[in-house]
Amino acid sequence: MIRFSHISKRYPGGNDALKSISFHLERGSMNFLTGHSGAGKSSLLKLITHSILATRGEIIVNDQNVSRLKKRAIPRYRRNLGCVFQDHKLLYDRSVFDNVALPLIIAGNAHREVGKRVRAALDKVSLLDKEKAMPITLSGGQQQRVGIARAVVNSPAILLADEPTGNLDLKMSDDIMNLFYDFNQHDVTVLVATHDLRYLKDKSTHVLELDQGKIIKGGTSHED
Amino acid sequence: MKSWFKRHLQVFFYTLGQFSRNRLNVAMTLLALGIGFSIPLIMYSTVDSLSNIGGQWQERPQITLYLKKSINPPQIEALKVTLASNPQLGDIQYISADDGLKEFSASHQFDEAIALLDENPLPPVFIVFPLLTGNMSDMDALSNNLGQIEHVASAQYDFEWLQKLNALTSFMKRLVIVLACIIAIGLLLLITNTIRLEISNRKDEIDIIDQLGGTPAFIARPFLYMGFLEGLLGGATAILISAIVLKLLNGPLLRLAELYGFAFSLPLARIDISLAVLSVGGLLGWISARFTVLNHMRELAPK
Ligand SMILES: Nc1ncnc2c1ncn2[C@@H]1O[C@H](COP(=O)(O)OP(=O)(O)OP(=O)(O)O)[C@@H](O)[C@H]1O
Ligand SMILES: [Mg+2]
Repeated sequence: MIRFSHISKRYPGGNDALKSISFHLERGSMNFLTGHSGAGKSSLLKLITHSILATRGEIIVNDQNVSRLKKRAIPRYRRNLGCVFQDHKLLYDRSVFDNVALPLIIAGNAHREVGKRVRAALDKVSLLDKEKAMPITLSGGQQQRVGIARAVVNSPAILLADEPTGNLDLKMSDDIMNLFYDFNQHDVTVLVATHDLRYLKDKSTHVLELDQGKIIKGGTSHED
Repeated sequence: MKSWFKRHLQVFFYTLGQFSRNRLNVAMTLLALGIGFSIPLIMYSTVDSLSNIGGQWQERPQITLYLKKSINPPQIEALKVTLASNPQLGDIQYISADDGLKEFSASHQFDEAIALLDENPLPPVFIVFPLLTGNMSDMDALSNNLGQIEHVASAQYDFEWLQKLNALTSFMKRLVIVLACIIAIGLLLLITNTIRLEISNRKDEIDIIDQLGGTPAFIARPFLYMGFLEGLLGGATAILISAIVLKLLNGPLLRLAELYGFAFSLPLARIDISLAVLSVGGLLGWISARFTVLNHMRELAPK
């Protein structure tokens, strides 16, 4: 589903965030991405969403060559990815409902369809009773769940999450991780960046570990 | 097609909602736009009306022959025949001293003052309309000739000052155009600035929508609407301001025009000019918003 081949990323300042790495994530697989702070996890996820450009190498996502995407094709490509951001990235001047509806509005869905799917997504994250609330009135974990509902509302084939449990307590983290496992049960390819060692021990998941821009587990680093 | 329309309608009302949330800011902007637009609008309305008088008169220049007061009715008849036989003249109109006085008192409401006069101070006049048009020196010569005729005290024509007025109004028209262009650039910058501010206020929102797969057109739409609406409402404000100012100008202007013997007043708002102002406003707003948004969009491209 997601294939990196000899990918390097050097930021304009000269920072080498990723150094010629290759890996492959199977369709419908559950994957964790880990590594120390500054290892390159966020950079890797941003490459998948085409928010930054690879310096070298090739990225294939869902049979599409991401680096060769035409400018006009980028929005459509991104609509097939569900993204959960560490800082939620919610719109704080709009209700929970409107936030979750945003991807559907962007994609131009019919009005009736929107209501149905937003409620289904909110139901999955147990926030059905909060649809009229403003995000600012919610706890950190609830806001994170709004972000997750928004990421899955248009049933993407791929779900990416950047440290979704970053500053939540254990119980809340478990709830959210369980949601991701749940989506994975519905054939969604999931990639979650996390520091939490508890999940990394799970034998059924594929773990990618980065160290200073190189892959030390779950993929290959090349010496070129 | 229906959903396309609906989406535009949604953005339209969303933008109106944004406006009502920032009432004070929007009011200030609209006022600034309105004042800016109203200056060339007021000038144009005034100059256009002035040039219309000039135009009317230039098409039918007239020469007034003031007769000597000693003239008697048979001599007047004879003079009329002489004038009628002049191939250079068209219509001829005789106004007796009494008629002249009546007309004067009717239009100037000087009844009481005139009643005090022992005798009519006005001479009888012939108003003649020359067939030739436009040429100043011909007019000069003709008027001189007519002035030499027996029993004619003097001949005056109202052409000279109209010629000057015409030259003045065409200069003013040019001035208005130049001014309008300069002001348009200023307004363009003003709208650009408000859009830029709005974009920076909503940077996060733009970024999020971009990340969620919003097309540039989708992201730009609310800002284009905002620019368009600002320009349109700014134009409407300008029409209102200029109508008020013209209303205030009309009183003194009427008196001034009367001194020159015209019935003249400025129309407060002409439908064609108003429509032009509204469309120019909307267009300017849309253009500056588009320019600003596209400029910002470039920052969103992945690096
Ligand atoms: N926009 C940027 N410009 C320059 N350098 C950057 C930029 N973003 C990240 N980097 C650098 O790239 C490297 C990898 O950063 P990245 O954000 O991918 O790490 P991370 O694994 O997500 O870390 P964390 O766990 O702290 O989020 C770091 O050395 C960082 O300084
Ligand atoms: Mg990170």
